[in-house]
Amino acid sequence: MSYLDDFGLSSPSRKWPLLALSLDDKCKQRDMDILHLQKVMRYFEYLRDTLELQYSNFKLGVVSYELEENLQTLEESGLVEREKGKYVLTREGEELAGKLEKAFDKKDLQKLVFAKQQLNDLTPDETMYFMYRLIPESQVHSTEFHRLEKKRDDLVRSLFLKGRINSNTAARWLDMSEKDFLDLVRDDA
Amino acid sequence: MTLKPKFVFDTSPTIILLEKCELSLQLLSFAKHHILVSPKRVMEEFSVGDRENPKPDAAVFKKVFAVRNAPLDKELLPFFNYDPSSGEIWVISYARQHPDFTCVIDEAFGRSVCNLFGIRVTGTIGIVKEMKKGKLLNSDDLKVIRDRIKESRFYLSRELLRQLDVICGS
Repeated sequence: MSYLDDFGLSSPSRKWPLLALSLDDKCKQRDMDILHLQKVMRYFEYLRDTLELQYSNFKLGVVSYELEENLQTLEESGLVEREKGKYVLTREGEELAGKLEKAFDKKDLQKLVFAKQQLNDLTPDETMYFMYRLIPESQVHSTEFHRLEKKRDDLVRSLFLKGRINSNTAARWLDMSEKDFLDLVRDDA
Repeated sequence: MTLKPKFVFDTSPTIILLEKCELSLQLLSFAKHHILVSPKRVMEEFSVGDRENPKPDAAVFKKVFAVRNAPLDKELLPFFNYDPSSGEIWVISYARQHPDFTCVIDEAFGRSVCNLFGIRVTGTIGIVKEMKKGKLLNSDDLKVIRDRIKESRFYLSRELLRQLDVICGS
């Protein structure tokens, strides 16, 4: 039996969160709360143009119960633990993540790095709004989207200033020209 | 023989340098010792102009920059929400196909994508610094450049503006 078989790590729903937890975000942090883990996994799949995990559109947007179940298994297996409500790797989890990374497709790894760096240090509202706009069908059963829409000017401006979207996307999300958006940002700055 | 440094420009640096700072003559001199390229999409964005400047000088643009119609690198599309309309994606595409080029991009998002792919990146301020180093700008030029960049509609981070102050000696 290999380490992959021991922990079922050939399955994306176990392998990907383990790898995601081993990567640095923009603030050099590795820990992730459940909201960010959910959104990073879905954004990673968006970048790959795949849907290997099962997702539902729920109150907080797109979530995967498959991911939650597997996180619980990883926790029970001693590879992941929770500190102050955030998931972190245990020492054994780190060792396995290192082995997984070596065997992981390089282009996929680049996308996973990007997904974590784009989202993990954003506020929950920024993260949810980013995902709602990226994947519009995730707005369907949302209890949050309309609340967030009311402050979309601030959210979009913040996403632009943090370098998570370009001025082209920001202008489109605010239904204005790129020039008007840049005037708005400059006036604030 | 020394190889000429090569740069591929996004739209905002071309507008700031050519239109806002009126540096066409200095850029032509700069182009004698550097290779300056613009993707076709960037020239199209430049040529549209805006309310402040409805008729940008496309002829001068073509004198300064070699306009290239390189194919889009489709691997970049997901990072740009599958939208190829921004100039940055074409700039980064070109640099991926020509690794000896440095991208000239001001927006933080495009710079992050360059960093992800290990592509060299600078911005408007970096080019001003290079032109100063090449003695193409005197202290009066630098004062005008600093004022006009700060007045321009393009957003540059506080850190970049701080670097501009250092270069321009304020």
